[in-house]
Amino acid sequence: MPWQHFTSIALRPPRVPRIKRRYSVTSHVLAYRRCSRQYGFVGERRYESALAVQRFYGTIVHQVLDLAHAHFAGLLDPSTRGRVPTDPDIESYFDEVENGLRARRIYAVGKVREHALKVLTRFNSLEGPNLYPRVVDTECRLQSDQGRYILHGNVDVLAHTEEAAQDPDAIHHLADMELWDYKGARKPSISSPDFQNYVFQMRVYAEIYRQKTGSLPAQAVLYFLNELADEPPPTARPVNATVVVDCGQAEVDQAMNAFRMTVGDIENCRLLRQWPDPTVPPAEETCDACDFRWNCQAAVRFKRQYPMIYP
Amino acid sequence: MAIGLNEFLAGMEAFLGHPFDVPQRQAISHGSGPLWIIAGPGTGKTEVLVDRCLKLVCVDDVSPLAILVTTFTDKAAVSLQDRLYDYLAPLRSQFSPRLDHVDLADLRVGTLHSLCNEIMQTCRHVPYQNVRLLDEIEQSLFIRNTRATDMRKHSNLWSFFSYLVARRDPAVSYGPNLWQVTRAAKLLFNRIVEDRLDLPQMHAAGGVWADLVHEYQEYVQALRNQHRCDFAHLQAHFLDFLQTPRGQQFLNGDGTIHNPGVTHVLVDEYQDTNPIQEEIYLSLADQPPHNVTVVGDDDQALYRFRGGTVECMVSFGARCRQRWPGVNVRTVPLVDNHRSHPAIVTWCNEFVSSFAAMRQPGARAPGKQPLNAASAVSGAYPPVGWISAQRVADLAGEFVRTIQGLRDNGIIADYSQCVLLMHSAKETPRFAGPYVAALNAAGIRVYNPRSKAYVDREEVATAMGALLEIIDPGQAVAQTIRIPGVPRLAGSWSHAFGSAAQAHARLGTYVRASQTAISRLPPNARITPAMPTILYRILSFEPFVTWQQDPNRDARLSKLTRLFEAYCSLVGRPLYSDRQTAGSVRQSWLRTFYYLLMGYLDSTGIDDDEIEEAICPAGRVAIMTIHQAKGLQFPFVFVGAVGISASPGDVHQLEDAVAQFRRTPPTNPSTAADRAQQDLVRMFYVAYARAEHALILLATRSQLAPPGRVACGGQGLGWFNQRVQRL
Repeated sequence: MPWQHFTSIALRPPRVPRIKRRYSVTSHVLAYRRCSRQYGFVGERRYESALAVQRFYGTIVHQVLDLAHAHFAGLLDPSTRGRVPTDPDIESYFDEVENGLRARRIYAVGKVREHALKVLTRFNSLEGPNLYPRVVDTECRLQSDQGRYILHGNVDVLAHTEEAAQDPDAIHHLADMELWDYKGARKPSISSPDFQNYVFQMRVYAEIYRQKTGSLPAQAVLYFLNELADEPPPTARPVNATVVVDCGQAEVDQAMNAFRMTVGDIENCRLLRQWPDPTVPPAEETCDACDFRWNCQAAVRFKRQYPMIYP
Repeated sequence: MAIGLNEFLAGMEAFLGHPFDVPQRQAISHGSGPLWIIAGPGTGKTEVLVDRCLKLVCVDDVSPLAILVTTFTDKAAVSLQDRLYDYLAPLRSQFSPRLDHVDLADLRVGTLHSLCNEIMQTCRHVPYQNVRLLDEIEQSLFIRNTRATDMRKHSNLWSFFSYLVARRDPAVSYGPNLWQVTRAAKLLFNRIVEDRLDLPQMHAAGGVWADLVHEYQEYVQALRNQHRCDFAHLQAHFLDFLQTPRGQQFLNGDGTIHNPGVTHVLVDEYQDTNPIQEEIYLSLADQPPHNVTVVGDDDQALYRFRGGTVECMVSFGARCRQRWPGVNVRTVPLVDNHRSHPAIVTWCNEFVSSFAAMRQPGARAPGKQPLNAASAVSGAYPPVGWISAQRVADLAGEFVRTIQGLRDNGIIADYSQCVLLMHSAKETPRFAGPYVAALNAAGIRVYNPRSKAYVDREEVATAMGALLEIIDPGQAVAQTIRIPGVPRLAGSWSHAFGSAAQAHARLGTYVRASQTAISRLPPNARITPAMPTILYRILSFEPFVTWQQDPNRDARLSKLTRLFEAYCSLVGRPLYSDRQTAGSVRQSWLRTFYYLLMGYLDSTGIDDDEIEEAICPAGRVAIMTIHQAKGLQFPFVFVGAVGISASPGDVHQLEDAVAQFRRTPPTNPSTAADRAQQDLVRMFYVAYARAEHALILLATRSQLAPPGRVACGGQGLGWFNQRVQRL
């Protein structure tokens, strides 16, 4: 028998490779907290959402604002450097992004388009003159090695504080920075899980920033864009549009501990190949749009009815 | 604050448990300027790349943001990144606090495609915003959907490029079918971009060349109109991006710690680079002192069919000197093989040099040296052997008995320490079919993600069968489709669904109720805003819920949802009832579904996804294509389906045809026939060099005996028999 030639060999079991994974605040930790079952399907097992339309609002808001920043910085056309985009400029950028999304068959549903454009033009004229000159970077990728894994997040805006913006040497003052994150929503109640998650997200970003630069940012700002949608159009920033998140070291440490615990939970689920039902009811809109609701026992437990649709 | 070079090298050697050999040390320690590492199999080329990268960060204090490291697959990139972190950890402990600041999270490690994509997204390169990147399947669907019908009318084009649309079915008398045109168009379009062909010159040549330029431009316009990009154009976009102000800022930095520019480029597997990739790498290193490190082995170039040309590796030094006159290109050959038993090393050396085609100018790197055995693996057993039998089915049985013997007698600890390598892992009688059957019969689990058997898997067939029953009851439309494989496939899926529905009544009830619901619809009514929602409802029933507990079945069902998303992004998500006929799905939609998606599945087939966590799951025997095994190593390597002789393929002919339009003229003067043989020699060389303890060929005599069979070396079966022991 051929194997008898090799009896002098005795191999040890193969080594199990260890993969260093990347965890993001939004795509992993918050998604897992929102619904561990849905996260298992989408975030880990790579099931693809059936309804891409949900992506329209968030995508177009972020991309148009990014283009507005680029417009002011002269990155699209040097002649616009230092000029806040006009309403027609914003509409033009909106159309450009929308065309791209449409080509990918991602559409606005109902009045979402008009709503998004209104909010964007209002933000631009209201915040642009003060914010754009202070912007250092947009869609800024922050990541940091945490030992067992890599933590990463995308900050919408990294900007000098208003005070630092007056200082020509401000570029060197890494502690005089603000992190901004745009939310395509109204400000939720401060006791709501959504609000707590937004605050958590900013504190984790603050810590990555500290690990990269040695200093915590001066402040972290949540901007709730839908607060600009009321009529008549606001002439000054609505009170509820922004929340400055307290990013002291103690709060940040607490957030990082929570982050580590959730990562531990995710890794445990992966090891067991089991993604349990959520113990706390997710927001109703999360379940309403979930592709996996048809046989979800948790939905039944939370008294959410999803009668089967034919087909 | 960095550490000294000697401290670094000593620290790494202590961690690895062995000293670097002299060439490895030279490569790792190299200062500035181009570095050309010609590294045979098992010589630690990836090891050297990892160590060199760490040396840049730990000794030279280069910001990780300023370094780009590329390799050939996503999996290799993950492995490379993990190795970087594994090696850095002990260094940081040993040299704390001097290395405390080093954070590799910002290091860009990936395939060139993934890095181009990521960088253009991060830098918001406007022409690349909101572009959907097409994978190979999507590119085929896109060409078939947008260009194939028009292109098929160019009879002159297909007469000229007849080798690209060669009919496999002699019973078919008409011209190339749309899928043949699609495949050929994809080859041509990708070649135009990857070889950086001179389009004005092609146009000026007139005739079919001008026609081809026209078709290519139409394709590019279609991509632009629909905000899509294929992998080849991703690279073209990136070259354009590097010329823009944002691209220049990315390359040269802006003086802040957030953007130090790109100062070092390290490239693994450089032998499979194509001309546009070469141009990208050299462009990234255009700033003096041109810090580009390339690592590769010309003898392991495998990807000519994807545009890779070994010329980039063989001519790297000349290319650098041509682009940057006066530059000093340091060449470091790595020849000490630390992987294989000495007898395997000897066999590999003798095998590759036994072919006259490999001695031709341009076939190998200048002054290529043989490998030197330096592994700890030893033993007085036959490390290179041959298992022979009269029939392939007998070979498969002998293969199974051998690995059972190895496992049952403690020679291997796990079946995953054996691999069966083949030119193709399709589960057909010619390739993996008999081996999979024999393994299954013995109760041994198989890992064969590239079997092309995806659409035949029970869970896929059942889900698709249920869907077809809903949208096309009784396969009324499917049976009218003129691609013979499509009604056949639909029939087999329907059968799978029928069996499942018998055992799982609720699934059958859902399907029947859905049929009824559609049958009651008026014309032109919306059935669902997104067709994949039906698939998700199907998956909510048994047996799918139970099948989803099995990681392999679950992965296939997940892939099905991605396939549907890709398809819907092309044709639209909503599903409507027919415009004229009440009670049925729109007929045009069904026909498109059958001709486009199912036509692709029938003509090309798709593979399972490979698992992320390991090369092969524990407890399974891996069956892999030789291409898939590149860069890997296994204690016991079996090589099957070896009865292959070299003959020029469509890619070799196409290379010759377009050579006149290349901006960088080809440097390999070999004929198409010689290049075909070189490719086959390299393929078997790669297979043989994967083995650590034993390399065993599985071959019937009739597979090896005919003259020209490459697997047994360039001197025939007698020469082979003198070197390889029959087991």
